[in-house]
Amino acid sequence: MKAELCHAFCNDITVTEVPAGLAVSTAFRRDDGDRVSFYVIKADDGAFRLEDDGATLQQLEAAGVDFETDTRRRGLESLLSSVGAHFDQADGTIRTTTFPERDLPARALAFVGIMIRMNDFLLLTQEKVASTFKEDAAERIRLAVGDRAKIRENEPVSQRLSEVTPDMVLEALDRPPVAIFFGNSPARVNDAIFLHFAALHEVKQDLSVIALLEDDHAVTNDLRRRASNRLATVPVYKDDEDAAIARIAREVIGKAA
Amino acid sequence: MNLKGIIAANKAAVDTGDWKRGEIPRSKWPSRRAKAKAYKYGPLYQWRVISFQAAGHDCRVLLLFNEAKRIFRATLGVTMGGETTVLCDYEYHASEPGWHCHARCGDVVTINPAHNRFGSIRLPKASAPHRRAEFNHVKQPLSAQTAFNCAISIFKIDRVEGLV
Repeated sequence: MKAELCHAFCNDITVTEVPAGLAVSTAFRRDDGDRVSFYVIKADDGAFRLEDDGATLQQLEAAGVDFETDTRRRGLESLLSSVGAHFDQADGTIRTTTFPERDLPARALAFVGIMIRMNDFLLLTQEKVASTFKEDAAERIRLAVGDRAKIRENEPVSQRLSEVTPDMVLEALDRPPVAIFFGNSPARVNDAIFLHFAALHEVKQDLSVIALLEDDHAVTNDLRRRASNRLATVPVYKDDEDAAIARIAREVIGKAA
Repeated sequence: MNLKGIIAANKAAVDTGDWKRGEIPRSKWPSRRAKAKAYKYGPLYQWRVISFQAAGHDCRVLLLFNEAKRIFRATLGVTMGGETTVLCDYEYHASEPGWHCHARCGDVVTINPAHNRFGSIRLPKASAPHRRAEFNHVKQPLSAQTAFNCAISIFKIDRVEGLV
């Protein structure tokens, strides 16, 4: 088995026996300097499967990637299913279906391919979180609103509007709730537009949806136009922070802000 | 105060926690940024959170131990304003040549909490020799108990105020 794997991955592969099976590390490195690796597990019926260390998605979500949003969940499922793998909720691992030993080299190469692409999620996450925009803006919104509204973070607006999760939901007395998306990526602005339509047409709930853009270049002009024509407001944070926060506060608590 | 200072400082109010399996309560490792799966490790993983005060900071160490896959990770974090900033992952996993850490050496108040191990430096470098290559601690095979002892030792959590 080792010879076949070595042939498939050239000579930079290392294979280490562990109680669960074989720990295989490749020549590819993650951004943290560790090798892209996987485990070969032999099932009771003699077939094999491949799986990760059980921490890949956990580390991504610790960094802020949310795979519960519909778009990302589908993207992840599509990526994994392309190599016959899935995320096992109970086990916390990314794992393949079982296969005969003769398929191991080819399946291993394919699995490494998606593990490298999972690493790309981490790189994207790092770029995304390199900015302190979200933290700064959230803190300023909390200060501006104070105790005049109930603030929830990273929670759905309601059970019936749970398909996308805003960054913040602010609920003031006798006013419709306000869902805020920090629009530092096109995906989040599209999430905001989706939530607006879901509230308006599906659930028929009065809801103000705001996409707070990080700067003028956060999204394309087309997407910005679509958002501006549909959402309650699409303020821009950078270089006009006070006005952007004041606009959000007015939406939450009215002119008293 | 930086990573070296936190490790060297006297510790107080040490709560060593217990080994458990299943979901880690968010309150044990507060983070507004982390999503739900960040706390959901599978049944092969045992986890334990040690909390303590050091140099005026609210510190905690998250231990993750997977005996079947030969994985141990001790993550040192400092909690400020409801967000836990990771300073160091000290770890062994069978896919690497030996024990190593992913460290962030700046002042804890200036480190962006949004960064994690992917904004760290790996010590030793991946291509450099690793002094310790075995899955053990003080010549004892790594178990839940020796893994705990390892974390206490590496982060000097036994340097309790008034005793040292």
